[in-house]
Amino acid sequence: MEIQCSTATFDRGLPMLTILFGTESGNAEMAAEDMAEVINLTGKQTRVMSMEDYDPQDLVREEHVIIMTSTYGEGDLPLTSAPFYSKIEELKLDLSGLKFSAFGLGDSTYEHFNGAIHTFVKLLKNLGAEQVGETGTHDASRLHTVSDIASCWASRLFMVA
Amino acid sequence: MNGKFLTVAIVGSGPAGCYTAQFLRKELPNAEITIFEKLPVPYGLIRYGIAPDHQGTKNITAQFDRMFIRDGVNFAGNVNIGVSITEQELLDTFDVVVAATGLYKDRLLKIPGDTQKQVIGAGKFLRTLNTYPEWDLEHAQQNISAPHQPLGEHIAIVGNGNVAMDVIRLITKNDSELESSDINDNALKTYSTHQVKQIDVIGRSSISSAKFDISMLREISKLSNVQFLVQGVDADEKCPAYDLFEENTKSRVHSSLTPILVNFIFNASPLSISRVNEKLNLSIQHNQTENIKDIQCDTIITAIGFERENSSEIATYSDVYPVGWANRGPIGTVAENRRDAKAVVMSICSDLSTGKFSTEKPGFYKIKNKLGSDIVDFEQWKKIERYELLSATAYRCRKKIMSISKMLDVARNQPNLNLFKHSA
Repeated sequence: MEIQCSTATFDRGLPMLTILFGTESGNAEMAAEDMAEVINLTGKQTRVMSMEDYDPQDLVREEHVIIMTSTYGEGDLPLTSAPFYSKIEELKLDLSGLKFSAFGLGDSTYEHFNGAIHTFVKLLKNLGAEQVGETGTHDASRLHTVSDIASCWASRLFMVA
Repeated sequence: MNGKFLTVAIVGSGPAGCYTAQFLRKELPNAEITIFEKLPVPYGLIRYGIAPDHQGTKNITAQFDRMFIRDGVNFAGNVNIGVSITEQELLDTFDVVVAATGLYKDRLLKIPGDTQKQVIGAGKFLRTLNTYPEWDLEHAQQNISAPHQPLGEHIAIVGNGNVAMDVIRLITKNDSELESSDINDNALKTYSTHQVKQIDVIGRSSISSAKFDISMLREISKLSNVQFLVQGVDADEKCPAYDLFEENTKSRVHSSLTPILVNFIFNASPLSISRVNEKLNLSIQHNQTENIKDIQCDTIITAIGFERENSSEIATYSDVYPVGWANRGPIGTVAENRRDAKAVVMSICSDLSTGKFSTEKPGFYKIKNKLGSDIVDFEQWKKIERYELLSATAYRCRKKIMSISKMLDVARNQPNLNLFKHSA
């Protein structure tokens, strides 16, 4: 089975999907890469990018993006997600053609855990984007690894057998 | 070895060292990367600094496990640079040397009287609860410290950053709140944390500029045994921390036990420590009014940061790239030091492209030939880890091995796990 991820170019003209992660500790990046591997099994082509390296204006040309972010402090956006979020908000992009899915990483040790992903979902919906599937969440204080939960969520979303 | 790929040695397997290896692997897929660690076990501050009840935070090791198992980064444990091999040998063997040696010596108060044995550094306290083999290491240096003793009923903590919050939380949590941690139960017993009735927390700053994260303070405020008190705060100094204190003092319904008083004193500086009978007397002064107050307590815990030890250190060599706390000093969270690791990797890559160094030095095989089976590799660490997980007692997620000789015994004599059987 050919596994292809983290590539910026698409060939074969298959449906494509961009996974955008914002991370504090690197966990969201690892989970994003795992998710890409799972989704690639469906024949979709994916690319994994840090929100820091992604131009928000490109969102209007995307068909489907997965937003992944951890949460910092009191439900706040981590430093790697915050500028991306602010830029989208500032540009008031028309995202009515965009489909997105959302996955958050949090730790229920803290009261406002997983606040950041809900903040993203709200913004994207307000700008007209359509959410596909339920918002996935991981709790670092529970037994299952973020890789397992993220892969599981993605396979349900894309019906990988 | 072949002059074609870069050979990199990273000294220290804490978060700074591991993040450096991770970013290096992404930038230079063909480089040979080896992380050296003084102990037989990896992960430094993640294993021994992050509090034992914050397993979620410690879970970042999953990323690094993957890096060692799948991405071909070498782990060389039980190799003490400066003892097992010299700093010069390391520099002669690898094209690039990165020092991720951290800082772990508690900064002293430097006020009269800070020599008593009842004054404990917060870093050392947390390491003890994290089962750090301190005694082994100090014994090796002929510098055996006093054994741990009960903390007593009344503790003063100097400093109110997140490390102080860890100390407060671990002392005040009841048994059920410590479930699923890997806290060292023997250490809890010798410190007799359950006898503590009051903790005074002394901070120089005002409440609105205090260093703790609100999320850390909130975590303490939710504990069943904790009652907050606040001193040194002006009524007009409204801030999120103020609201949280107010919420805790007004509306808490405590368990039937007498709550532990956690008394935050802001705007105060320690002046001196003296001994009064069996107690310690800590004099503190209000920063504005200059009023002096004496706190009679049983133990003082200092949580005022970390500093470099005097001994020679690889981080001070001119050709070495320091990263993390060894680079920036003892500031910033794990996430901030991850960014530092990324920046250091970028400067290594740019130095490589401008020809500041070439890819000519032999790399890890030379050290391997010299030290042989003294080195603990990643598979052997995983045997130690499995042993620790299987030894966990009720309500604990693992039981860490304290002694270095026991770690080495498990590493060398337990059956293999065949972790690498599927790798290319």
